[in-house]
Amino acid sequence: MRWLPYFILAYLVLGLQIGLRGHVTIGGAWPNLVMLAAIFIGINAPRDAALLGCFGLGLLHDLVTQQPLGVFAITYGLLAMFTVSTQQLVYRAHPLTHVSLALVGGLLYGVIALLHGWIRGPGSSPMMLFYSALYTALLAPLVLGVLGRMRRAFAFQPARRKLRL
Amino acid sequence: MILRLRFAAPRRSRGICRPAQQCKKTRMSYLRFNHVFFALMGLAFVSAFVLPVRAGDRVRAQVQNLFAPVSWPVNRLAGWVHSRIAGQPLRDDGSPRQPRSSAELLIENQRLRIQVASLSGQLQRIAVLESERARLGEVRAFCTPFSVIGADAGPRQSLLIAGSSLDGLRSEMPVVYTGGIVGRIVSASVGGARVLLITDRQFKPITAAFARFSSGPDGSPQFQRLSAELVLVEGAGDGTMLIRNIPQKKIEEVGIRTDDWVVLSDRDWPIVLDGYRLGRVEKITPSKSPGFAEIRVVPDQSLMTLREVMVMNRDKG
Repeated sequence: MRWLPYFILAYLVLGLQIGLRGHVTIGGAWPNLVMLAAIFIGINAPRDAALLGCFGLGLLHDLVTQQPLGVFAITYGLLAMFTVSTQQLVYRAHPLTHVSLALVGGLLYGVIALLHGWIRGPGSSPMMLFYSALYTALLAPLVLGVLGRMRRAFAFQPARRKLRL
Repeated sequence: MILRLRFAAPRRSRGICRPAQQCKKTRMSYLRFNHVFFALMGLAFVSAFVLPVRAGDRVRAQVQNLFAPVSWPVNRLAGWVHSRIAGQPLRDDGSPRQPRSSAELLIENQRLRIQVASLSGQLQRIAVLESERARLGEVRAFCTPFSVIGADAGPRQSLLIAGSSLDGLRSEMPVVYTGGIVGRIVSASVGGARVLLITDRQFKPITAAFARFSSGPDGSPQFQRLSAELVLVEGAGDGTMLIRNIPQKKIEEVGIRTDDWVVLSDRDWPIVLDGYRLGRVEKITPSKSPGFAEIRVVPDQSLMTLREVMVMNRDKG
């Protein structure tokens, strides 16, 4: 995987998340565009790059929120582990794959956020976390569809060597 | 079959695949990578669940404005689209149930101007007399406006503003807007500044009072506090605030109802902000404890969508 496009993607998606977050909230539920970028990396990149890339995105996301460092990093790290394990089983360009992975990611974040709220406080509303997961999942086919068109720039699969016989 | 053998043999012999060596190396590298990855996850877990919440603030403060080149134009554009679609709800606080006509409002405006002028004159006198009250005056005079770059990228209620410690911003500085209180600066460094909103769950609860505009004997609007007792307002985390466990009797006695104002009355805040609006009563619902109620307070507009805020960073107006 090429890391320069990865950092450009991370920068753009975090900028978009910061800029849009206040305006696209519906009844307290908000979409997580950074998670969708993490899913994009997770379903396309090789195992090591996917795990590291998603963890890195989580860490960067943690830096631009007011919650403690590490919550998004753990979430995206676990999500990457799940996504990488399903790489061979799913059709990575199918919208249903995008929706289900985004829903899993959103729910995973919800569980971690609830756990964090329960241990450290203040707690979050479970329903709001669920609606946020649903909102992110609904946006997934659109965002991942656009990102899918840029797959080549990331060179997820190395060029095959030509055999000289 | 022969062809296949011929094809396969050179691959092995030329060492393109090198199964034994490469597998060994790969396994080893996976082992190392797994160690590193799980160590990073462990660190993240410790940071999130064990270390103090503010441990990462120093690092965070340095990168806050890093994303401004993307987030600022996106925020402006989204704000413009949002205002076009949703619009700014207009509400007549003087008569929320039956909005008055523009003529009536103009008359009221004229009366208010006179009243403001009179009050300003009185305040100026008091300011001369008492050093403590020398800081009284129009709030705007103590503030510097800053553009909002964007909102919190996560679940928290905070705003990133286009200012830094170089602009004289410091932690704990109050932040207001034309409609009321916004919050306080929670971190400010060379890299940017962040405002924690009063609607965030981790915002320190504020003591406040209920107030209402009512018509005086001559028909002029009079601002009156409904009760001398103060209540504790805390952020609900969803863009609103809550006043929990307020006795039902007290609500009936004082006559609190929807659209009443909730105004600041807190010694931790500058005296000049005393009486500044936090929001209005949106809903009064019975609490889980019998005999008590819960009051939901909403700011004048969604604080997460503000485009400009004013930071009280000046000592004198």
